[in-house]
Amino acid sequence: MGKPTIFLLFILGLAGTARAQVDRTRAPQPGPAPQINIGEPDTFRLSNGLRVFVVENHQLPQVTASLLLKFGPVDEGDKVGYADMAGEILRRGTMTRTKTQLDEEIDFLGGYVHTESKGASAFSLTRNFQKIFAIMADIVLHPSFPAAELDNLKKQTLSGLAQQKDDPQSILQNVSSLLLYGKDHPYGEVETEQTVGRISLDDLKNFYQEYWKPNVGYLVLVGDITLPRAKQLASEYLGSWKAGEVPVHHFPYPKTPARTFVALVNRDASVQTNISIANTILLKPGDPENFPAILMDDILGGGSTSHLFMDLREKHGYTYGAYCSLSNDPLVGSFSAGTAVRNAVTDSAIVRMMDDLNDMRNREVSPDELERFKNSLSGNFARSLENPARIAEFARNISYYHMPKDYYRNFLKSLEAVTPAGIQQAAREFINPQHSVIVLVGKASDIAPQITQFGAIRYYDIYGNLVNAPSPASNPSSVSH
Amino acid sequence: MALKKWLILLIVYSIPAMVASGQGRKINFLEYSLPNGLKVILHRDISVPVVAVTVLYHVGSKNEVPGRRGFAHFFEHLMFEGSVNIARGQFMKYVTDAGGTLNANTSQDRTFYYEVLPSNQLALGLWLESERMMHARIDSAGVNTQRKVVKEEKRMRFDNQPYGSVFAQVLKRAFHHTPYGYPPIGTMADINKATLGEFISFYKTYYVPNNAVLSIAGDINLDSTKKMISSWFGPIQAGKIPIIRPVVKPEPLTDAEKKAVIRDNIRLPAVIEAYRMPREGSTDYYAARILSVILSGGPSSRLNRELVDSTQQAAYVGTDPYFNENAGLLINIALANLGVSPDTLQKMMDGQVDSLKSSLVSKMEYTKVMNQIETAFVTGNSTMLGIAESLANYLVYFGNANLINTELERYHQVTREKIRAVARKYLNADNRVVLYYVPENGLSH
Repeated sequence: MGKPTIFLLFILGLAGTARAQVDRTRAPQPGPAPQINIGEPDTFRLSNGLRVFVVENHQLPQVTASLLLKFGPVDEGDKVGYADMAGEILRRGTMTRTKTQLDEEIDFLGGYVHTESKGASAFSLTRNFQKIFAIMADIVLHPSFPAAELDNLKKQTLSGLAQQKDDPQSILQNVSSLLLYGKDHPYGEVETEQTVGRISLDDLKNFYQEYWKPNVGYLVLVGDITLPRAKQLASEYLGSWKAGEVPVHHFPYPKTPARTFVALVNRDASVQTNISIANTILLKPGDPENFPAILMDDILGGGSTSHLFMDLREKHGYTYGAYCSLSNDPLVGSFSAGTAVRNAVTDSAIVRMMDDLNDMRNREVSPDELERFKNSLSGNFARSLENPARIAEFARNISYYHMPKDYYRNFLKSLEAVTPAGIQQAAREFINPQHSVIVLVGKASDIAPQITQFGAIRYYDIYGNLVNAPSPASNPSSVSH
Repeated sequence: MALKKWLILLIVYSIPAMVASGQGRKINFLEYSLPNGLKVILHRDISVPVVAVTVLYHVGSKNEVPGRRGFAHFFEHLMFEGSVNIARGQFMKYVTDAGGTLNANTSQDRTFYYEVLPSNQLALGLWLESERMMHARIDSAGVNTQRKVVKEEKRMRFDNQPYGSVFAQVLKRAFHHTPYGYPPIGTMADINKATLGEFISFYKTYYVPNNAVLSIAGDINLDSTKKMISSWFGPIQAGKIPIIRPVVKPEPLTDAEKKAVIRDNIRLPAVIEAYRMPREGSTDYYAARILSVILSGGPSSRLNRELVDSTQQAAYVGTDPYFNENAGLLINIALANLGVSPDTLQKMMDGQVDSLKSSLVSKMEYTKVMNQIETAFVTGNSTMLGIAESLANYLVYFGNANLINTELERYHQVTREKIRAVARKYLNADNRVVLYYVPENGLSH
């Protein structure tokens, strides 16, 4: 591990710890602020371009390898689902091992190997790591694409799709993404029985051959391993991987709705309405605007002391939880607020959420509240370092997203510099209640009459296709309110 | 993956983390009691400046009186309302403002509270936990709000979820007429009935130092921590009301309880086979846990290989070893692929279970499963919260916190013959509940 950079987490007063008599009437003072060490991982590149990050941590006799490829997103057209399937089929056979053999060997080593469309990972105890890593490399370099496994994957995917049809949260996510990004954007594509049916073995092979190249690869090794050992393993097992050019695609920024509208997906069995209020945002990883944005998001709906939770749960008892999340992205990010409430209070819950969102834009938070959330986020950041993989992620992110080199080293300082005015500015920029998509998944006959105040309701099916309003359900709800 | 979500729903509510133990790293700890009966466990690890402060109260849904299903969990929510010295709504703020995190959960046997804090905020964690142990704020404002919140929690996690009733349906039949016969979330009707007076009496009975374990792990100084604990927790009076510990002894299953068809708002049928098992820590317990790994641990496990891969009849299979203080279950679950009937699925599951009774597992398979179990144990203790919780669990349920270091030996003592013997003893048709979940359009529940 390289030179650690040292920070002081909290600039707070000192206090004695051991006292016979304690004052119960107020919170005890904290002890001296602990030092936070953010190590720098060792990095190197193989001659084929593969970037390798190594974090040594010998607390436990285990090693994790994770490979991430930088490309995409990929427009899957009328075959949505093939990129995920290509990732999954890699783990299901190599030129020298069947799926059964892979399963047996990997389980015998007491570890795992996973693959997905943009990467692979492997884990085991130190003593078995060379073998597990060799298997992962075999999977990455020599997949066999067995036709029988495509059939099996399709069957499982169709079962998964069938199951999702009744899962309100899956429906909410699908419809919300489609309405937010549009069906022509990769982020808005929805997997269906039809798109899965069209996928061929060649689609999977082509995807692998086009995108799986070492020169866009980021390999992270964390745990009970040394730098020389990492170099040896990486070059021995991944050194023969051939570099090649990877296609880059461009997608237009999705259109923002002219005005906020309500999309309702009917689900007769629902005893709660799942609600999402969302808009797209332009915020890239590494942008300085991330700091006020993260804080603003946390104050509004990051946890159990945030506005949405305190209002909808603790004040009104509408829900078990209400949160929001803001995600940055190189292409297009999103802000969304969500909750699940009993049918009868659907309208009141939307009103409360919209008020809380607008309030964030219209009013400066107090310096005191901001200070509390700065402390909270600083602590989260410090606690997250309990996982040694975080240090590797930091370094990888900086390289992957071309972020400023000192982004994480200055993370706490950057948070500290955010002002109440900065929070309000972030709210005005990233929360857009006038141009949002409100998606509701719930029992239309219970909730439609309540929500006319939010404009004309558009009805959608679970895939995000516009449909007619459902005829009123003949049976009354059996749920007690 | 969406398929697995429902399984998580089934188990998340009630299984304490029992996956942790250590061979790779010895967990040193200090264990003692205060004069008021509070048990204390301290583990020091200075590698990261965090500390986990946890309190386990040995009370869960099995302590509830008839007609108050869901009471213990409802009460858990009230413990966040504050105390004599902590105003309503401030409890959570103290923790998050200090850069910490907190939560709690309720099982059939116990209720577990925790804060994870920067290590210089240890005193804050001790103050908060000692305040709510000494004189929690239990009033009608809190009860009224949390009653609504708890009901929404039930709707969100169970009533509004496909397969959300599996856990309740299994318990109702497997532990008929016992305090284990329902999940900790309880029922709407009973949640509606709970009164402020009942909560106060519950608090005075069970939330006492002599019914709790304070388990702390992290970057602490042992001597000063002991002094602080004695200052904050020492003045709390021991409970005087006798604590009733119901001993759950399930009666033999009746024919009517063995099999049920449940109609749910789902598309894929599911088959659930729940075999009744002895309590955790018993001699057969370790063999039963090994059986669950043989059946569903990893892609080469028997149910995965046969039902998911070879024949492709199932979209998902899993085995949930659900063990409690007085009784346990081994629950096999299979979710059918489209067009596969539950009967077909059940026959295949039974075929796999029967083979465990007819022949010994091979030496090769035995070694594989032991390797899997060893990896889980060696790598289990990776967070301070996990270590603190494991230490408390081992102390309360097994009577020996040091099992965190030595429990793996107990698995190694289980022979192949023992595995077969335990399969023969428990994995039988007259000792199980079978549920078919089948799709039903229209109104269900």
